[in-house]
Amino acid sequence: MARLLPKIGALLRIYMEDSLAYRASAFIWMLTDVVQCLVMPLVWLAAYNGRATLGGYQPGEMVSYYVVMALVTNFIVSHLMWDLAWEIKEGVLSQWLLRPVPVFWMLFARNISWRLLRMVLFVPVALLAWLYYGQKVSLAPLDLGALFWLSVLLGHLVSFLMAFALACLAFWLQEAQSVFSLYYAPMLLLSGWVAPIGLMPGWLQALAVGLPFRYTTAVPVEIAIGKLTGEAAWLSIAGQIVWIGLAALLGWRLWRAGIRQYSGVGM
Amino acid sequence: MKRLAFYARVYRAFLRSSLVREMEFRANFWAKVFFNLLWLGFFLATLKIIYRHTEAIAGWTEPEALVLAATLYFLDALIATLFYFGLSELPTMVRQGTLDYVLVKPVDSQFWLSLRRVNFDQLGSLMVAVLLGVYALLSLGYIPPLTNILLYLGMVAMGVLIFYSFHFMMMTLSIWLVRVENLWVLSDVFAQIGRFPTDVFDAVLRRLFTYVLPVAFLATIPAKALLGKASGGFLLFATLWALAFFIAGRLFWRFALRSYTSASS
Repeated sequence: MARLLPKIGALLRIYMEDSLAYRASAFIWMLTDVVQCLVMPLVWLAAYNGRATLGGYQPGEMVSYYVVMALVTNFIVSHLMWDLAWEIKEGVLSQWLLRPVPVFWMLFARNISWRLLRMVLFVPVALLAWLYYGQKVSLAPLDLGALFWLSVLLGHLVSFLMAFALACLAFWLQEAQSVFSLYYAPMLLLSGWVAPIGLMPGWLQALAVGLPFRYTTAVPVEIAIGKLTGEAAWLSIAGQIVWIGLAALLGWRLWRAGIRQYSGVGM
Repeated sequence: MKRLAFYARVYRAFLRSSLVREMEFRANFWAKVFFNLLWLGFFLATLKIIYRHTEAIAGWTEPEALVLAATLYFLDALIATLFYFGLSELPTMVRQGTLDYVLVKPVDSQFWLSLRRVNFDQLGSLMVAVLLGVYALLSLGYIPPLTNILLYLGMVAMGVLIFYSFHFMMMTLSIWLVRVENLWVLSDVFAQIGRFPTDVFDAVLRRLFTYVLPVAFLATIPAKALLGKASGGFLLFATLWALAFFIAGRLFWRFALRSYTSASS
């Protein structure tokens, strides 16, 4: 581990520069979040029709929810399976296996560098959104304490490890991409990206508690806007840790099995 | 006239080769239908979650919002059938230099790039969109008069043309932005704004999304026309906008080609 840390540090530096080279792409991807964070709150605000709350959410809380959601999604939600599956299929993986750093840590450094850049780019947008909505509704105060940052970090790991495990399917499947697309529907719904989970029907809420997606972004966002506090917050953090363990185990297993029968096509 | 007959013949050849291609990947047909249904279901679930808590979004009741969703889905299927996937290959062609082969063909390059690939596998989605629309109208208990239907179809056609020209311009950017691989996201974002009625925006944004970046013409205004809430004057406006966008796209392409340096040679 002592030998690994400086290597990871070097990887982080390399991938930071690499990510910066793709800042135009990062900017374009960011627009998706901009639209989400502009359209969804306005849709909800147009749905109150004079009510004080909807499903327990005041207008200000609803707006804060989507702004914080868009911000943390940039750092947390990993899409590395698309690239990694392609790299496995095309044999790019072969050259990585020869390097003196485990491929896993390389992927980790690459992912977190890209996510950091995406979040930094989004901060000004979030501030602008905050000012814009501040004129329309009274925004809920945010609780961005240690618990929030802890759950953001854990959420990042849940998403990264899930995406890694999923990408390993490319060792066996020719069309892993269809599986990935399939993954996005429950992911976008149950991570709270579409709407706060508390506003969904009971059976979906129950499903959310049992699946990993809530433990990526929904938990930190609900902590930030004060919907998840005290014991419930700690239970959710525990849930994040459980899912990190499960996803790591699954990913490790799949990776080991996959590497054993990887033939390095394209070499 | 002879030119027109020539292009009609070329387009028939496109249809034939697309159909042959489709027959080779028949399993894909059902996979496409399945995924399109999945995304439609996903969007309907979003609507459902909101309407659990309210009776109207900016004055749109749930069945009216379904008409809007069906319109968007219909438009989407038309776009995907007619040009989206072929045109989206333009940045790859620029990067690999294969655009050269297109430019030397004795056919207009925009025509070839846009229309060579007809995706018949989207026909399933087209049917689903129509069924959803009919269902929404029935649950509204409203049968639109023929004039509204014609107005609607005209507006959808203009919406397709507006989206086409926008997408073409975004893809054209790849002539300069060779390394940017996700230009298609720009067009996606454009369509994304139109997923909900543009009435949810405040006056400034609503004007922006009607007159400057005309996303309102993709779904909101056609759906309103079908429901009898938008006048025929909007069709005239949509037509003017679509033509302006189309001409702008064409000029932009001509201008971009002057900067094209080719990657391979």
